[in-house]
Amino acid sequence: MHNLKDYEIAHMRDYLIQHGLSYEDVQDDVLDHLCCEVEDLLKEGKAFEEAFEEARKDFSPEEIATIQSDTLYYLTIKRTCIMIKGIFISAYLALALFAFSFGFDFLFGVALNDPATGNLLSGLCKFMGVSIFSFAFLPLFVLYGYKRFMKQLAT
Amino acid sequence: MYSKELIKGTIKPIILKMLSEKDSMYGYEIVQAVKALSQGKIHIKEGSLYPILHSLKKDGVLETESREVGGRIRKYYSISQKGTPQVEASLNEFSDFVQTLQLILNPKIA
Repeated sequence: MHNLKDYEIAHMRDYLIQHGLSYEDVQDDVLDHLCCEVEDLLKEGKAFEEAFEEARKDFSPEEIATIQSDTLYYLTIKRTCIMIKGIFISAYLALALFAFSFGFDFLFGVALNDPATGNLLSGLCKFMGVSIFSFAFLPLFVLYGYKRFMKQLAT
Repeated sequence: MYSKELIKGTIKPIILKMLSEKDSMYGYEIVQAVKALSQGKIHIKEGSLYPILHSLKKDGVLETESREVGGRIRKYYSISQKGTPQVEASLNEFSDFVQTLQLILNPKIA
């Protein structure tokens, strides 16, 4: 058994972090994988530096970036889809309610000559439309934009 | 060695098959087991393995146990109780798919 020394493991962890593997849960997995490969090469009689250099071929900076980004993609895809659905549905509802409010204004104010009912229904639709726009669409839209921005910063 | 495109859709069932054969396995062990069983023809890249393992864990299909080995943390993956029926269904579907491919590759033309 060729046990790696603590400073050698720390050196390999630094290499992974340096190339963007910041997600800790995956970092442990990848570090162990890298250590296993290096240990196999040490068993063949290679020195640590030589073994690490060879094992690094499987862990190029591009490969490390792929591991990090693909993992985060798989972990967040469902939540992202729900968020995008929420953005579209809330936008549609808010617009539909505004359209209804103008419809009620016209229907009751002009066609049925009952402006009081028209104002009531129109006001209700406008209130619901503004509420959905302010408390559903805008927060989801801002949150989605913020997450995309942070993701771009991280890559 | 098979092409990346050919292997891409089969990695998940291959991983699940490996895990269904043992109580628990760690990442490197899975890669080596697949390599040995496929006589070196299938090599699961690290960039494919860990995102899938973490996604399956998040979905509750797999569970992990961390142990300290040789100065670092090693995570052992195993199929959870909740994930067992899902894994069985996935492996049956995969086996059926392979049989269907056989029908296409070896057609019995009347």
